[in-house]
Amino acid sequence: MHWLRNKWTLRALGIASALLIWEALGRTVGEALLAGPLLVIPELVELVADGEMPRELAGSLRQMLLGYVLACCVGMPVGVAMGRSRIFDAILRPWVNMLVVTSVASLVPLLIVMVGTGFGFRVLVVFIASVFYIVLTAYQGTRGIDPRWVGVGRSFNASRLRTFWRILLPASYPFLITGARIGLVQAIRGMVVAELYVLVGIGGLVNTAGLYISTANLLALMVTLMAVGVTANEALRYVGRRVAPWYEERYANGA
Amino acid sequence: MLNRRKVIQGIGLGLGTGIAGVGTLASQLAFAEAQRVIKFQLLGFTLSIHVPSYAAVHDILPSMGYGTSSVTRIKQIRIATQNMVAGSADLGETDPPTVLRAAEAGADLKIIGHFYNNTTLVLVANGDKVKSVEDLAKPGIRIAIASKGDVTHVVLVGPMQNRGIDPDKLTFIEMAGSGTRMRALLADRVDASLIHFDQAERVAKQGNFKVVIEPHKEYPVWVNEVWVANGAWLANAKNRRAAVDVLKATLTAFRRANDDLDWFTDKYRKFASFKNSKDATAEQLRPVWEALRGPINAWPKDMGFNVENFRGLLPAYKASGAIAGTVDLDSVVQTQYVEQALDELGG
Amino acid sequence: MSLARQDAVPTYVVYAASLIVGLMIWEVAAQQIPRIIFAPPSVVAVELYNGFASGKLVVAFAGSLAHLVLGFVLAVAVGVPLGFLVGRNRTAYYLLDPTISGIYAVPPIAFVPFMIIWFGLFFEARVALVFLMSFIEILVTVSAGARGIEQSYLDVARAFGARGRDALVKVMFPAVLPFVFTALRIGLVRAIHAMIVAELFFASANLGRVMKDAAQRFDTGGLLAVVVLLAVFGLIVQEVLKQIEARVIPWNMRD
Repeated sequence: MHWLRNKWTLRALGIASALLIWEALGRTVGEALLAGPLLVIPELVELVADGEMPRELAGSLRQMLLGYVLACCVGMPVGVAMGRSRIFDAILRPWVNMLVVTSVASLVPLLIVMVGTGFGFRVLVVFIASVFYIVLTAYQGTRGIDPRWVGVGRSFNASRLRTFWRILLPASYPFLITGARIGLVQAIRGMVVAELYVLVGIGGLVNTAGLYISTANLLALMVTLMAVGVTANEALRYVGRRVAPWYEERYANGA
Repeated sequence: MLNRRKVIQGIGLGLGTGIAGVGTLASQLAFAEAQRVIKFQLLGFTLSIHVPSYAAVHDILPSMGYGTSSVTRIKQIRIATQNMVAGSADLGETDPPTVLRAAEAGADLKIIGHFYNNTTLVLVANGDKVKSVEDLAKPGIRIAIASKGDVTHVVLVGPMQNRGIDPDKLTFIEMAGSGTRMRALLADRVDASLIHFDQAERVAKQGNFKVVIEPHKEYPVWVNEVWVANGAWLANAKNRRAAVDVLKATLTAFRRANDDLDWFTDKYRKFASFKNSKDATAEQLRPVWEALRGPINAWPKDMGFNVENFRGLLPAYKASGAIAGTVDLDSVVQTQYVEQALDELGG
Repeated sequence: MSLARQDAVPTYVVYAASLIVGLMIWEVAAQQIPRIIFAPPSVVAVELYNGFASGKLVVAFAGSLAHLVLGFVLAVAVGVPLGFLVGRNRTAYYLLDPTISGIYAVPPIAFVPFMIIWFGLFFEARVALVFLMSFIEILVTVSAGARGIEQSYLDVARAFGARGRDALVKVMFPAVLPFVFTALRIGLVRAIHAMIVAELFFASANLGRVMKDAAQRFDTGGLLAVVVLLAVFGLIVQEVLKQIEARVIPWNMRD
């Protein structure tokens, strides 16, 4: 039964059994506690057809992407710089360490009195949620770069800036990609946190859905978020494979 | 790789965007001279008591020469006030306690008028779990309000104290939006909810839900929602003009709502938040309308805006912990805009 | 290891200097803006002192720790063995991977309305959220680690006659321990986030309640006091874990 060992068959089997268990559980406890896939899927279709949910989701994602891209543009260079320069590292790291353990949800009230709850606020929350993770991953990656590569650059008289662009940055690609993926997960989390607080976008819909008698609506929204997360992660994984194929082989899984 | 061609393309793109940008800005400025658009921040759920002011913002103001109002809806009262502190809008709808608290903490906010008078908020409870008002203080009984320190909290403290119930024994669950609180009650996520009486009617039809406290019967004077502006915004003469015009629009709406059921019905159909409000008829709305213009007197012809209203409520605000009590009421409550509006409107 | 030359100034001194300079900048900047927007460190320090002296913060902190510890311990007890199983057993991995990735992709905070339906608004719900947020992280990290164990280690062990249980204890456990510790650290950070998020989004209690009350009073000093407390707490526990790790697996000295 060789086909049973094939990883795609196993994955498909895994998904199928998960769906079956979900449906069985849903019927046992009732849709007020857990609506099964047979109830959630039609609900999801209706949500999409109705138009409001896709609109809210698009709005949420727009702001999330902006905050995320900003976090990458700021976080990656900063992380790499920290990795190479002891002074930079010493100055920034205590603050980065402290901020990365701070839950963005606790900063939200402060941010609201500073910038209100509009577009800028949501971008800022996503930025703060992801930037420190990106910085730390880039930092750790850069520190692991084989110093001999840098030595090679130096022996060819490459200026520090050129070394940065031509050797350090490409060598850090795998870590930057990992950082980008971790950052994206955090960005999506930040997006939902901000929205559950100020009750707009998809997060706002999740909040209201929590009050329906049936959990089908809520679960449909969660499935949507799941789809968004998985798609985004796969997209980045694809980019990662194109940019640094050797990395994926050594570390074939990765969160 | 940067080469000359790319550099020139880049410059061209930059110039083009710059010119387009300046052009748009210029045209907007020109337009702005002609048609000022006021940025409003309003709360998330519109009920019968809110209808006239919503009509003022969306319908009456444009007829006075302003552009279509730009409106952001905020679900949570406390966040609405925080937003006004951050200067996110020109004028906002929010409540007195949170504004006074912000003022105590150093914010430059001014209350310039009532959004409506009195209140239609009532406390509705699940009749199975709450048989008497005292039951509210039982452990595990969850009471939904908007947020602690705002009107939905303060409005309950007075009646509680009148009955000898210690407000600290109550378990408050914060839920933004009266619509949300209504649904939470129906879904049995909470045992009592502070909602408006039109919502209470609907809830009562769906199960054993009873009104246990009617605050408007217990306070001689009560102010639920007010028009708020940032002091820095009011420093500009054009903005002061806009403020007066908004109050004129509100007063006009009050007067029409008081006199004209059909007008009220028309606006209710347009603005109310219930899903089937579009189908409301004048006869259906009549009882609510009579209550609002009669005993509740939500839309007085002259707004009845007076700093003494708030002074009388300060003890209640303090007792609930909403404010510290150090606020300088006379500097926060500015009556000159309403006075000017009344002057200009006459009658 | 890195090419940086031996600096005359030890790193810890630079860290301390960076913190002090940062605090000074914060102090000066915050004095310029209204207190209602952002409080300076001096005010925050006073709030912290008062909070501890009066016992208010101590009680709140202890209350928050209750669901943190319970949820985290449960998450470790379930997540580590399960992660190990998923990582080492090929069938289990491919069967469960789609489900795990799917759940990981949903922002944990989107589970809040779901938790309210299942567990209510009080202690049980808080424990459940802490469990959920850290369990997922631990599971993914441990399974990734278990998968990544260099096959070569095991081959060498087998070549020397190690079989079954021996191989497990003598080769795999030590090989997977670094990942377990990483998982514990990440899981604990997520657990701390969940601890405070639970108190902000369910019925407010303990530290979350202190934060909310401060926010209601526009008391940014009090708000920041709790934020700082949590940040310092997060740093300390991470440091403690690092120390434990250094003693248990001294051969794996990373930074």
